[in-house]
Amino acid sequence: MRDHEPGKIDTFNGLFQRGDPENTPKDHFQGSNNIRHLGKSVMTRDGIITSQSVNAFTPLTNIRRIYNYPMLTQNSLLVLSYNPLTNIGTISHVLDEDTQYSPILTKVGMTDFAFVPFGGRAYISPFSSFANGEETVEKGLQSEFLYVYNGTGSTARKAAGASIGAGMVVAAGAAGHTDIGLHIYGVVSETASGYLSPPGSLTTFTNVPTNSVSFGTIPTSGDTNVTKRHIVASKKITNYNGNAEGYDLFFIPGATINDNTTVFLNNISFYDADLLEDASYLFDNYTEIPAGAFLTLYHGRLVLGSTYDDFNLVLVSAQGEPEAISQLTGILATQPNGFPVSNAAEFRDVLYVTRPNSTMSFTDNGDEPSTWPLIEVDSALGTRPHGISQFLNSATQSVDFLIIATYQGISIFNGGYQSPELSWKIEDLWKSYNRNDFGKIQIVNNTVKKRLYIVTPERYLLVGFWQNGLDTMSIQWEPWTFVQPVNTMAVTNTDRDILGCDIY
Amino acid sequence: MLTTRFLQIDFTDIVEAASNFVNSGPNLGTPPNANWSGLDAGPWVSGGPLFSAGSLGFAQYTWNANHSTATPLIPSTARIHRITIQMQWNGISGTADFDGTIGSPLAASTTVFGLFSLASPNPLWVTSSNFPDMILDQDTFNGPGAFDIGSSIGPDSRLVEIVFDFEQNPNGDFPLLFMDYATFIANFTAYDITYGVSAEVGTQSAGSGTYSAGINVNSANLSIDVEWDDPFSVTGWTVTPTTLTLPDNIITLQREPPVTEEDDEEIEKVKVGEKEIGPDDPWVILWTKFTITLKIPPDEMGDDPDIQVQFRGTEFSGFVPLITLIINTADLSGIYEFDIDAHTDTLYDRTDTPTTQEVAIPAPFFVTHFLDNKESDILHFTGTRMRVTGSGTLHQQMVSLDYVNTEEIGDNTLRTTNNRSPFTLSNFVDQQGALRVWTDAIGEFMNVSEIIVFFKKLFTGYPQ
Repeated sequence: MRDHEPGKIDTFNGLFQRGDPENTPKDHFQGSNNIRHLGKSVMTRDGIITSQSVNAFTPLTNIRRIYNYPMLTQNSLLVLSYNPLTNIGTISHVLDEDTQYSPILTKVGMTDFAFVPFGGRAYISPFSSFANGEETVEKGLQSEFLYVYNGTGSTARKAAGASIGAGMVVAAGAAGHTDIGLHIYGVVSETASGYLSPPGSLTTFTNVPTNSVSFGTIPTSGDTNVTKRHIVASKKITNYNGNAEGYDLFFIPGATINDNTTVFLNNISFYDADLLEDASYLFDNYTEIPAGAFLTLYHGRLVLGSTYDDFNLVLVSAQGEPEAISQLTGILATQPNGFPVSNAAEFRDVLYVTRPNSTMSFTDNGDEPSTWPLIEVDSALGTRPHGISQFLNSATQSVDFLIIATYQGISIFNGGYQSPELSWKIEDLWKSYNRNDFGKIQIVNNTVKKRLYIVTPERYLLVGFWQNGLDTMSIQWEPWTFVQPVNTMAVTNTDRDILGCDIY
Repeated sequence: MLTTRFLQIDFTDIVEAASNFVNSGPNLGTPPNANWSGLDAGPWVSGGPLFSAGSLGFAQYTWNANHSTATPLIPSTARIHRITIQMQWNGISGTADFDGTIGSPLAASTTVFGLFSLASPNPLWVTSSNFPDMILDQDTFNGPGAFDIGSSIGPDSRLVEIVFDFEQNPNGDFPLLFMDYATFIANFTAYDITYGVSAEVGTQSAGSGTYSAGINVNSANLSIDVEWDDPFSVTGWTVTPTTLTLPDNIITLQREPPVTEEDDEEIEKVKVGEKEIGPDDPWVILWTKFTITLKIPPDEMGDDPDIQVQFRGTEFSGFVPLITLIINTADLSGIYEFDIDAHTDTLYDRTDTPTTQEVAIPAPFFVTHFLDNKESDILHFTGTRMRVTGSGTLHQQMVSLDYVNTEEIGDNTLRTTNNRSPFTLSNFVDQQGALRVWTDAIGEFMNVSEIIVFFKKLFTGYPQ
């Protein structure tokens, strides 16, 4: 072209913002917006469409948080709407564009919530951001608790529960067999979610060896979610000290009432040797679990952290029992550093717990959580409540590592934070965000589309296209902006990207 | 160049005040002491005024200037050089009567009527005034003995002028030889002008008497001239529209190109609310020297954001306000999802019965790296060729480092299928050039696979 040389650009690797724009490499952009990558081409990003029908009902507004909620039969969404005028947060359950249950939980001051699915149920913890000196921290709402929702549209109920009331009477039954001597008997209620209450209605009875035992005026629970009641007993007590809670109690085989209405159970025979399943640990459990700022699962245990009264607190449930958290042995001992525990994730059999500026690990040693050894992994890098990549089924790993949003950048974590970080190419952009707003960051990974979505503190999206590889140089970054601010994202049904937008 | 603005203040305020003065008809009453021994027992204070501004019997009027008309005229970066206050007094009349007995010996004494002082703004900043000329009437008497000084002050008119010339550094408070805007607002909101009657007496022995006066003051045409300049004037920059109704979220900052080369106001950054925006930020649609089109970041839509600009320069740093943008918000919130086949954004419309509305995907664009040769010579960019498909109109712009130099080049009509890579002519000269590519209308989309920018060395350097 008239001795003009051609400057050819046929490779496009996304945004580059490190230092002066003159430093932009040949195959990168010094500025961009609403562009996506496919192969070696760049094109206008995907458009967005409304996800709820405007004909079925008034679609939800003021969206603050969305989670994919995998039920037993389908995937669905849990959606938090927050009205700043009334300071009320409302969680709705959206099944499809035409069907929603609303509200399932309403709380004053709930600007965010933590969620983890377990056995088809949703465990929900309301939390918010609070000023802590010059910093902003996320903690569970004051005087609030962990809730469990069964997915049917009924209101979420408080998890765990109190022991059943007094009133049970024990008498000798028909001919049978028991071990002679003084025994303590009690009642443990069981909810639909499998939670076992502390033993209640404790009473003593001296067994007659040639007779079974019968139980009358068995109290019913005021909790309508109770579906079963179990009778528990001690072994023979030689010198009773008067403290009924001071003895080991065990579930009596076969002594279960499968409802919350029957008030008697007759003619139960057992020997002390049959008492194998311990129920004493139930005395130590929380009857109401304080709300925290994060929830996760580790080895079949529910992990909750950063309560309002103690933001260093991390609670761990019994294995397979998400609502059974011991007040004695279910606490992880974290070393305070002035910042709250903020997130946790399981990776390669280790539980990593973060603060905004540090990361520590705990490993299940087969014993109670309070005995798990703590290892400081990083004393400078951590993340906030939504800063670890999520997946469709809320697992925390997809390709053998975690992706974590730290103050330094978006990092690959495989037991340590890898350097350079994934966001190395857009370091100037990342460092321009206000650190006090990092609680707004959320990372969501769509494995099928090979996209990493980051909800930024300025409430637009940073999209990382990793079709060429999930590493610092191969990832292609693009900002995606919208007319309205984006607060949250979720991926449902394998690869369906959901955005939650606010008014302003 | 100094700019002079004439602020015409409503004179009814000052006339009303004058009426109050008259209506109260202050009887200046007896001297502070029954004996004419002045303020202290004993001999009169030599040269000391029997009455002074603000003392018993004097009226004091405080007039608060209404700056609501003033502040829009004077930008916050203005340098105030001179302020001139003029008051036209049309008719001052009344009587002053001084009866008493003065002891002996007594030096000459003077009765003075007139305007005495400016209590605020700081009278030490006054560089010239005709206060001394405001002795409207005076009389003298000599004692000892009885005296009776009656004075009928007939109608008179005077032009009172008070000048604050900061270029003279009055009172040493203006080393830069100008007053800044903040000081102007803080000190020139209210004017405390005291006028009344004073008797200045000499020394000597005790006496007694009464002093009374009543005056009638009419004034008109109070004006304040403020002479100022502004090193970075935002005059000429317009913002359209000044009111947005969502989902419309685009504004344009524009001004006419300069008449002379000296006027070279380029915007370096725009600040919307708390968000600073530069040329390569995602919110920008078009950035040239005198036209900037951008979207309002959604994080700044909650309160009507101030639009401020930072100019390229060395004397002044910081943001200068342009306007406060009025935003009529709309509830666009809700749950959305991506649709790879959609070329628009479909949003909820809740203005009435909920429905949906389609809007353009907010200005998709990209800016390539800077093309140059190894020696950073001055290059001529003659055009671009692009493998691109899509729909709508593809805009292109050549930009230099920091967007100091820009050229909008021809548009391409996009086609979904195309066997040609269209060439777009340009005539851009700079040491380095980058290509900015974008679409901006609803339903438009682009798919770019290859870009070729043609350039050659033109000169080895700029004139030294």
